[in-house]
Amino acid sequence: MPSAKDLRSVKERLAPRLLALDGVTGVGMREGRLTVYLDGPRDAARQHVSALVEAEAPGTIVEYFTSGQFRRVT
Amino acid sequence: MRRHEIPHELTSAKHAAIARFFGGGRPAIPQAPWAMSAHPTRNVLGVGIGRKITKGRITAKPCVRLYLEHKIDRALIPRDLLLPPSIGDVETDIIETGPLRALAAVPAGRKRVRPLRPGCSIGFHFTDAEVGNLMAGTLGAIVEADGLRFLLSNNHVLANENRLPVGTAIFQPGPLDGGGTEDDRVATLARFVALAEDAPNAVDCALAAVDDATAVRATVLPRVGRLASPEPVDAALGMTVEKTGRATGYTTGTVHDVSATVTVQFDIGRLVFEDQVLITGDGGLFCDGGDSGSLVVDRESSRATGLLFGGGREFGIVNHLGDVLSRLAVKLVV
Repeated sequence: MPSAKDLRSVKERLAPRLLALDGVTGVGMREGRLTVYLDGPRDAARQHVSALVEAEAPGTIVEYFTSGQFRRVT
Repeated sequence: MRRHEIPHELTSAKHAAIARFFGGGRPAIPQAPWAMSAHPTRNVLGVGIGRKITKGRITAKPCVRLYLEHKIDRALIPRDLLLPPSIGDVETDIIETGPLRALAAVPAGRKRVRPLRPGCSIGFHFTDAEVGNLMAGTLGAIVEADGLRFLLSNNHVLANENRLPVGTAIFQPGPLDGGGTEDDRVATLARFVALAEDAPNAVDCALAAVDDATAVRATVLPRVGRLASPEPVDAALGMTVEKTGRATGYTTGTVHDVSATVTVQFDIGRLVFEDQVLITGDGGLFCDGGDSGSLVVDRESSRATGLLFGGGREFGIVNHLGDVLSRLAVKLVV
């Protein structure tokens, strides 16, 4: 399991590119894994995320969650 | 078609569908709150009768309607879990409803609350092209700086996403909850952290100076109650939290992520927020429209940990309260 510091570094480095992918609503970290939030069950987005993470931070485990679209709550 | 005019053939098909999808009862399968189930006994929430809708148009063809929590791409569903195109000779039509739930009673915080207490409804009057719209958010906390008392909530609840000038009147209850007269005026917009459209944000927060400092109490509306300390506590994974908001009232949840970078839809655009706390509701929604500004409190220590401002189907999004207080240079009043 990567250290929290290493994982944070991966998250901060990749977040802009991950958030630019269609369907990705968020990127976080949880229990040694990179968390990626999707607006629905998007296979293509998962494949793009996996490919990007594997290329840029090999060995990083990615956990996916379906969040729906995020919006302000007023 | 009225209820007593429904042909027997349709009623029979409907009953067959009910027996098929509801007959065995709902399986007590614990489901991760972020997951969707394609299993018909979980995903079919209702069965009805109507006219089939094709390409968005209501046709003359009668059908059995299956109301689904989520419409899922057929390609992703195992063959044996696909919904039938017909029941007997009657075609089915699939309609996505989202989750169905009982409507909650109106939380007490939507009413007029005097003295003012965190958890109640607050808001502003729209101006310019938005005149006529109504809104309400939640008062999060009472805070102080330089001997003055302020109401803490979100920028989008007190300053309409950077668009209102300092000095704008703030009302309790918010105009959407029937407030908005001079008699409901309780504070004036004092300052806010501007929301950035072209750079990541850390907070969505603003302050309103209270008109009458003797007319506020720091105790959060039931059941959160009095905070144990003016010092916030850092959110931690698995922490159990609670909040009282204007829309969903008192709810509890669990911290799921403490360092999420997310995109959130605002009126002024899709904004990026860095290092946010994500919270899943315990047994239902943690928040909904109108809860923005709610203070999120650690249940174990009774210390505040965040300021709610956004959410999605499964998560509430919360600013770290330490970031909010430091950016506004204020302290919590308890």
